[in-house]
Amino acid sequence: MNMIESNSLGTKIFKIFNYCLLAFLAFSCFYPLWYTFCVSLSDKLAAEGGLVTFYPIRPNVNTYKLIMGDAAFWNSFRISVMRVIFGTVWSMLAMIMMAYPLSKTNREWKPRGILMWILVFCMLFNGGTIPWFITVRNYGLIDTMAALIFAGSVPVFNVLLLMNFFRNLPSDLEEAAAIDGAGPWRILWQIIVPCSKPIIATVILFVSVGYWNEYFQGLVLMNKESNYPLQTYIRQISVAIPVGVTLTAEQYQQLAQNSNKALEAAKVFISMIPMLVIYPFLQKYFVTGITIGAVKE
Amino acid sequence: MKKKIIAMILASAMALSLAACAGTGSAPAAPAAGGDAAPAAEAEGGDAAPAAGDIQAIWKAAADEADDAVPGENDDRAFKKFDHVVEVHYGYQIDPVDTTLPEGDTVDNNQYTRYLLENFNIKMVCDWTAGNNSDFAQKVSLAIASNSLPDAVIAPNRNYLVQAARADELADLSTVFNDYASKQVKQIVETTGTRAFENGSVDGTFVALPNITVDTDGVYIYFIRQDWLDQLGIEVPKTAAELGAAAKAFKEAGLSPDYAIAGIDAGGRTYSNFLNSSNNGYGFDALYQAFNATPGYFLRDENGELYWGTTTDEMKAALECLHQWYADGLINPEIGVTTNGDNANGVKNGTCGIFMGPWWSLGYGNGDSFRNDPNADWQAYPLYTEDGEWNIHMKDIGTTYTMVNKNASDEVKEAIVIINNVLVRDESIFDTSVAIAWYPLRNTMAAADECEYEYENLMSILAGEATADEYQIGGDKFNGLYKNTANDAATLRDVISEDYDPANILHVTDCDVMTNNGQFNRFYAIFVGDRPYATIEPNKKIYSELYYTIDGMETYWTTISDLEDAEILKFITGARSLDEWDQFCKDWHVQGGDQVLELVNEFLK
Amino acid sequence: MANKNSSVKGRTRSTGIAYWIMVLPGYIWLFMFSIVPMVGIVMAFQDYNPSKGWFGSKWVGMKWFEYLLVIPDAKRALVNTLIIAVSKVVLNIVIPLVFALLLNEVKNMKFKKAVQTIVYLPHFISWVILANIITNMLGANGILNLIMKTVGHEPVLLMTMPQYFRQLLIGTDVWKEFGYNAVIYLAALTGISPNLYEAAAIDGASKWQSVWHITIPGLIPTIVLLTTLAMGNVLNAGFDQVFNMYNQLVMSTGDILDTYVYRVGITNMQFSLATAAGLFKSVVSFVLVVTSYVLANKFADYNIF
Repeated sequence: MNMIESNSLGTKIFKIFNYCLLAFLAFSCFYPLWYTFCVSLSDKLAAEGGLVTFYPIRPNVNTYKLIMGDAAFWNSFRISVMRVIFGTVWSMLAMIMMAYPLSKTNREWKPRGILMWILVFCMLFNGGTIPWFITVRNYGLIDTMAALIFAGSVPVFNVLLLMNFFRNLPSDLEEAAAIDGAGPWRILWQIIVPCSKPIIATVILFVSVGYWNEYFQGLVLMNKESNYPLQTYIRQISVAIPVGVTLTAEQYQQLAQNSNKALEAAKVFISMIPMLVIYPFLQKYFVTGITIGAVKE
Repeated sequence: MKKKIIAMILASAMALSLAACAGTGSAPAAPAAGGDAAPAAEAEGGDAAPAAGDIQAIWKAAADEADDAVPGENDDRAFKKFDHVVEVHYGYQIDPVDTTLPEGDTVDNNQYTRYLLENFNIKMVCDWTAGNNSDFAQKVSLAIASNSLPDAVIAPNRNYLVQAARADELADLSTVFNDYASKQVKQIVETTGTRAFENGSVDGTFVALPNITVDTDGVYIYFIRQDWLDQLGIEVPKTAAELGAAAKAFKEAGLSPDYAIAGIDAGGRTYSNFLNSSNNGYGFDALYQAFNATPGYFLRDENGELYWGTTTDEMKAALECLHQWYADGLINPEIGVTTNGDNANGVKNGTCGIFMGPWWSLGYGNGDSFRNDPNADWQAYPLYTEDGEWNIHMKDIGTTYTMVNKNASDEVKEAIVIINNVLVRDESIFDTSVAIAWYPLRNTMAAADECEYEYENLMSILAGEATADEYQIGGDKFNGLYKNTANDAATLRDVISEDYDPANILHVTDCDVMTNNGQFNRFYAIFVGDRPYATIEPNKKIYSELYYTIDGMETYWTTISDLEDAEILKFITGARSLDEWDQFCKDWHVQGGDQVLELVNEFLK
Repeated sequence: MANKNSSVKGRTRSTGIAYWIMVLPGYIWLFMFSIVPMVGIVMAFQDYNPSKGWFGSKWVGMKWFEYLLVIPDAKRALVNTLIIAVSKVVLNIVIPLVFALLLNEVKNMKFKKAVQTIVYLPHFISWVILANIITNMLGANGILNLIMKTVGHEPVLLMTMPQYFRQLLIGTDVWKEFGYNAVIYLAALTGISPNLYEAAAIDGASKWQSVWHITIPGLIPTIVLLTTLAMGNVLNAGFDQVFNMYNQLVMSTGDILDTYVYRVGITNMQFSLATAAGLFKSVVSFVLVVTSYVLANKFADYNIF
């Protein structure tokens, strides 16, 4: 009796505290997005002077009107969308096919051991930016969509995620299929993949967000600004004065005249939308699926 | 069996990768070997034996050159038209948000490139572009590292030039520049004495066309809201102490609720050094000068001993003053932290009344503050030492360099020199409604005293002593060396009211800010920003003994410049106490400063 | 018997071939873009000269590594990297777990779903953009100092304080990723049978006891998996984040190996020194990953590779 009472009081305090904390966390995570949105709707001078905090100042939609007619922005947008679509399809195929044989034990498939270590080695070692750039250039991929898709090489971490999930699937499913005469290809596509929706959804999200947010390759490997993906485009319009470079009077004037933080914020805001839209589509797979793995453990 | 297969795969992998690298490594190495032994230009030097690449040895003075063709025309030398199309490949920085380029035009197909093609048979092909300074610098860096420079590219600072030259990637331009530079360009070069030659040379070889900018880009003054001074009844501050008092008054009067003195953004410097000796907007250079400190310069004491300008007692005194200001809340508390130009927010929105910088900081540099408040009466003044001296720090002649790939043909090299001649000569006749920045490989050359010349001559027009027409092409007072004067003279009355009396200093209230905002910015920069340097003779002009890095210095320099940049800012904010000043000086010398000084001393002997 | 054996053998072989074909595209990809560029590692042992290439440049042995050991900047960067990266690894496992447990206690489904969806948002924003927003939020006129002002406190400028900068980097990184990282835990939580809790309640176990004895053990496999995978990141303090957030004032605590390599290599163009620093980082990470692999294998009986 006593215990239940103290419990309920404690529970009440805990509940209030818990709700407040979670609400605060949610607010803090929402604020950057809201802030960007407010700046994008604010008057240019207010945005420029850093006056925006919680709500738009002298709100207007000029920036969005301007963006509608901005061919360079939409061109980069299109390139980013293509990159995400082709890149995600390609890397999912390649990674799933890599991960399945690697999910076997060393006894089941002997080459696995060495292949695995090559993979881990590549995750941790690299030649640095310069050799990588020279290599990609020698392949003749500069200024191509292929560079944007392939140059980042295999996302090894994701392969490991897939592999670990495949390994933990109940082995009887696979055995039963093998007894029915199914070969490795059929087992992979008809048994393993359908059972692995949650991890595949997770990795799709990882990969597509990765492709979408990546700007460095776009900068280094694309020579023409008309080939820039969206994040590269956005980065170069944001007015940053780099370390060790002094501006001339004229450059400074150019910066000052063209700088438009409201417009910049609007572009940033639009650039975030596609990834926010993808998420709910994939979200439903997360919960249903991982349960399978968890139950097994 | 399986092991064998794997071994084979690995072996072939190695072989393939080696082959792939051989493609990158050895191919350029072959011509390099030939180039080392005998650069093409040397052949012409012949037995007369001036060292190859030494441009001073072969220089033909501007006075000895025949006159250039008039703007828009060709001649046989500096403005020759090739008999066939010569392609020049280049990498270029463009402005991604520029709106002046007509629909359908591109970086290498616009009114400027077509002008070059039609009149000179020079076809510009842009290999790559980048949209802002750091992206551009990164691309140049990668191009140097991978030995894939296009025919021509502009090095954003001297470090890039030196690296490319030492890696043997650059063409010797001494002969071609001497043979093809126009008389006008040669005149500009000669206004610098021999400094332009030295600047364009690395280890004695002339490998780049240096840009030449106005001297006043490196002369630092302070800017203040004159209307606030008047409102509070304060005299124009002359010394650091008076400036501090004015800042305090601004703050106490509520005019500057947050801070009265603006500072730098993240990545900026509070003073310009020997490598970046000019255009340090929002730095505190003017204040250091007022304490007789010249940080970041190689200087000589009265005994002729070389020393470093930062690690001095004068510098400590200046930092004590700055720290006091910071502690009193006069300086932007977020100095060195803000990004994206936010350091200037207070100046833009009219809450900060003091900052420092070169002449163009007014007008060009703070255009938004006038757009926000057309009555913000910013004025510029020199800051004197306690002894009433105005000592100024003199900049390098320029900071950017047009580099040419060593594999470029002679015709391409000639074309690159001609492109520069054309820009210098014809800039004043171009229709600049398309931003002049689209002119390919634009690396400006201006007479060192251009701003002071303009100040004087435009003032004489305002005073009624001359007319705008006299400065147009063909007029009595037209002078090709000062290429912007014609246009400035013609637009003077768009901005400056007829009521302005040139006997007084120019106030913002004498100007029309909005009608021709671009020219307003320019005139305000010249008439107000450059007024101190144009009208007051400095007591001392201080030069650095050296304006570039020399061989062997880079590794030490990276370390000590990192140390210096971070610690100085800390001394200002008080994150580090000035009691530790001696320790800092010691660290600087021990961690590489002594080696650098020794190297420079040897080099200068 | 013999027949059956050979058919199994034949099957094994055709399976093996199928496996090879499956991994081939991925390994070709890996070879072309990861392995081939590794030849550039030779730069770490050379005085690299671009026009002479990797085969013509002068060999200098371990010069750059010896040099790295004496530069104060490099040592400082290593220390910062270790502190920042290890804290991130630990907190990025613990905080999302705590968050998942707290969220699991919420019975109001609408609130739960809303919170869960919103906390993912920062994950999708790149550091280029987020760093700028954070600088503004923590600045003199930002939200933090608005709060400080209203409670009558002196303004606090976190971005100027080296003593707090590491915590700031760690905190913002954890904040950016916790919602996303919690996904895996939340999924695993739904897999724990409700019967266990009911049984515990009947036995009179308190809330805390049932969390401690049922929930946590149910999550152990997930925790081990994430921990071992995270070991590879032990020297990845997050280039994008630091590069976009640091400034001269906080250099002493904010400079990490990756930003150091970038400054030395791309900005100052000391290609060989930068490669040496990068290689050093790779070797240390490799050692750490192998160690954690062995430890996980030994103590948790979990074979991550």
